[in-house]
Amino acid sequence: MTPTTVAALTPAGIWLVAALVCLGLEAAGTPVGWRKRSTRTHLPWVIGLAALAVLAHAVLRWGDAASAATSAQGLIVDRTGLLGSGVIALLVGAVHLAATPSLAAIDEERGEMSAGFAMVGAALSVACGTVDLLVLAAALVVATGAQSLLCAPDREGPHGIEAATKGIVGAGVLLVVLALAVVFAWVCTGSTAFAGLGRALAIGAPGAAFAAAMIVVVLALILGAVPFQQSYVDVAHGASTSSAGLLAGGMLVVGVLEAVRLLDGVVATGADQMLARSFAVIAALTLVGAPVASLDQSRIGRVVAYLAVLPGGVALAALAAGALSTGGTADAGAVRAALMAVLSGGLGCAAALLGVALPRLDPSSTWEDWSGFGRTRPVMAAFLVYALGTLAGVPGTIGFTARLEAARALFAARVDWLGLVVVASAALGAAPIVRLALFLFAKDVPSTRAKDQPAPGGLLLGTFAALVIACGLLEVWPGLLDELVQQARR
Amino acid sequence: MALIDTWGLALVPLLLVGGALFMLVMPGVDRLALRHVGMTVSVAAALVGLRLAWLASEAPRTLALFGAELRLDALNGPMVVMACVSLPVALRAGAPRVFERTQFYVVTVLFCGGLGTAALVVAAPIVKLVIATLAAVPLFALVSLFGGPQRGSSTMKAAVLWLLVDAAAMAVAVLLAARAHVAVASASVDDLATGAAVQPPGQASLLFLALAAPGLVRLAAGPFSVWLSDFLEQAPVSAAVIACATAAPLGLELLARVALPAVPSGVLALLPVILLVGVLALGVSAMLALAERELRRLIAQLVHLAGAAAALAVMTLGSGAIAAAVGLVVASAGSAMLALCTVEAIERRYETRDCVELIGLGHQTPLLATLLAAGLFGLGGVPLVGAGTALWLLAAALGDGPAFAAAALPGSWLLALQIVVVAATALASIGVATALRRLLLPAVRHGHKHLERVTAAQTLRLLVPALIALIAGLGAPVVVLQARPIADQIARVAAARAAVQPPPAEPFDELGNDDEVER
Repeated sequence: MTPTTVAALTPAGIWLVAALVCLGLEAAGTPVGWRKRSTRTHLPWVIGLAALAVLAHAVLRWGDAASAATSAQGLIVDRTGLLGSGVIALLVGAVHLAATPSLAAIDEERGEMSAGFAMVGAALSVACGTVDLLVLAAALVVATGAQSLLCAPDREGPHGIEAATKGIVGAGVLLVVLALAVVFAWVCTGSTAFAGLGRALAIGAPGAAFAAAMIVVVLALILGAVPFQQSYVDVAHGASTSSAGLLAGGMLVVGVLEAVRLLDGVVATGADQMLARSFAVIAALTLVGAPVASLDQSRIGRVVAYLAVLPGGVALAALAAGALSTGGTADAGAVRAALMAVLSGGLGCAAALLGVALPRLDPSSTWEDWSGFGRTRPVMAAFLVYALGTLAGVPGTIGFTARLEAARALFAARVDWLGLVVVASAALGAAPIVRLALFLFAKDVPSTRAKDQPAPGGLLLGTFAALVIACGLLEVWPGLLDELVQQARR
Repeated sequence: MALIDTWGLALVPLLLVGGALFMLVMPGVDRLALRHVGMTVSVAAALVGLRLAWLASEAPRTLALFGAELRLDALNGPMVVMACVSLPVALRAGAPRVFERTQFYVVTVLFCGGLGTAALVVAAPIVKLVIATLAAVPLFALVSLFGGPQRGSSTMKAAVLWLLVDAAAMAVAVLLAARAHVAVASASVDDLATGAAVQPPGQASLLFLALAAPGLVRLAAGPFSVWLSDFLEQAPVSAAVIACATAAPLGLELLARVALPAVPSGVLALLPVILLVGVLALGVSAMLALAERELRRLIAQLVHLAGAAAALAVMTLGSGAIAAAVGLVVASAGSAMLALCTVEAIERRYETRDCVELIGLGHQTPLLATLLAAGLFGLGGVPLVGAGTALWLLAAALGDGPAFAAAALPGSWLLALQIVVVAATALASIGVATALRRLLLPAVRHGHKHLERVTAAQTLRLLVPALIALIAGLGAPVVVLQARPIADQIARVAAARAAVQPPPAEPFDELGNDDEVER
């Protein structure tokens, strides 16, 4: 194994070790006389340490990764990948911490559940650091398996099995399409790497355009972009809140980073504008369709799941501008905007999906069930509204800054219509939030609601608040995020 | 005083927002203490605002704060003052009905004022738009928390409309900034105009419409007023006062300072449509005022009338008309404040706002009836009462040096517009008189004989908005006169950008007439 391969697989290796330790802690106990309950209390520490280790790896490798290095296996070590694996580590650590109280309520399989979190982290880390379709497919297979493990034994509501089933079916469709893309890419280029596909597109090789189209569909499926949103939305809604936060936020990061890598591969060869047009159409459909669809939903969890799709739409719109660049490199401003959208979206997504769990309502809870939550817990309700605002990109949030950056890139690339859609659709995204805010603050608490409703767990509340405050700090100090994404593209 | 003179521009919004934040973290205090702290903060802000506006009337004042330029001059100075002085009135008028969440009530009102004044004084247009959008959040929160039974639907309708137009305007502003190759946060109106100049000429009308929409919706002008009636009917009096005294001036500022100078050619392209829709809006609101018997809805129709007239004045681009629009918006805010506070006092005593059910009010509580008449007649356009003076000044100014519109319109159209404004004003005044006539009838059907008398404290509280309305009405000619040079500058810049040859500048005398004066 070359040093590049080792460096690229290190985050995945850390997560695998963490998964094994979790399984070991679950298996340990009775044979050596330990009490299983006491061993299980170490699970959050294991995941937390693994997350810190991955973050430390990203920080330590940051300087060396200024120039990208690619291995023969299609793994790449660059700052973009390190940024992605770092965000995923943050997400895994945060949502597992938030999930600790609900995991504690599970009598069996707690270790397996924690291992599932670690496996998702491993698979998504690999997916963030590859430029090869086969490696991506392998990573997605592992991620899907771990995802079904996290979704299916859901103890929080009736939608876990449905989410797991839809997730598996969606992943099956995704893998079939990806397999088609792999076959066509191999046939017309002799390679499954993005760069090879770009060269084939540039010379107009037969089948290359079909392979590229299939890859665009795969990316749309990963990001849950409209009209391929069904599986993404079902998983984000049906999984337990912490799992959903990880799965939705993590997939967002992977989808956008892979789109960036595809863009780098295709733009470098001066291929045609098919990619830009595809991204632009899907982005416009997502930015307009998702909020409109969310307004029509009766369950709050599903409303939030639809809003979670929006950062992906913003990122795709920015990449549409990047795909139109000339000179062999994707427009730096466009890619920065996409990275900004995905980072703010990933944090906002996790925060919003955790926030939905705060009132301890039924996962099928409707608008009416949420009435008056803002009157009983105004700060939490305000934080939830802010997290949703970050997702939707309303003014005053980092999501809006990302929208502005994306719009500027689009205007610079003369895709005015999409730039206008990106900014103006913020109002569409805000509409369901306004409606929710009205239910939270304007309506009285329904008399049917139990007075002795349990208070949210401290860890869940703390994690949620930390994520929202992080989003707020990024808005107050946007230079921090800007510097990070600028360095990531140097 | 030196501190105020130097840093006052930042002090007003910071005082209000800082006061709101302080009250957010203040430990549990009783509602009286909360109200007193809120009143103190808002009165202090009003005093600073008055001092600044006084200074700005002599020469424009600017301040750079964290890279953002703040500017106060004779155009936005009176509007900032009105926004500031309305806050204590709004806070006090709505407070007696707030028994729970007083802290949230006071904080929200202060946020409305802080963000509203910040949006008024910030110079960068996109930042101004963003702050204006944020300023709407506490306003709608106020309605949704403390409004009437249908507060949810009315807030939803208004908020979605405001958000849509604000987002569209921001999208266009970002597009123009990108075309001018400047950063979004630091883009000036000149940059937006530069960006608009490189866009295809056919897009000018759409660009102007998108940029003007936030201003028009806040002014409740023409078709953009669909939110107003329901909003004023359901809003607590504090939110209604803020909508009239802070949001409406902000709308005029956005229209005159952002949309108009940025894309003046769009106005030219749209001028016939603007005039047609404006005339229709004036006529419809005057007719509806004739038939309205619910007092809040009557006020809404009159506010709509004033907003439509002000927007028309700005878009017909006579420099005198722009200055008159400023006077009208400020004075109508004062009159609306008086009318709203009086209606609130009436409703608290009689539990109704319906004119028919209030028959006999003039005999039982003449003070309330008198103040109501003053407020409504001021809004309705009776000269020398509240906004009436400004409305007539505006009617006179529409034909006064239409430096820009004359290039696109026959002079007879502007004459027709003047006639329509006068006729609509007369109709609205008749509507007000019809409503008030009922109140002066003897209470034969619905007697309210055992009501408490209006106490001295209540009288004093109502005299404050009355005094503000009176000063705003009487001061309207002064405001118009002082705003004239700035308005003239805006009109000439717009004319130059649209490549329209304006007539040579004519000196005007102290009364604002265009007659030649001997130097």
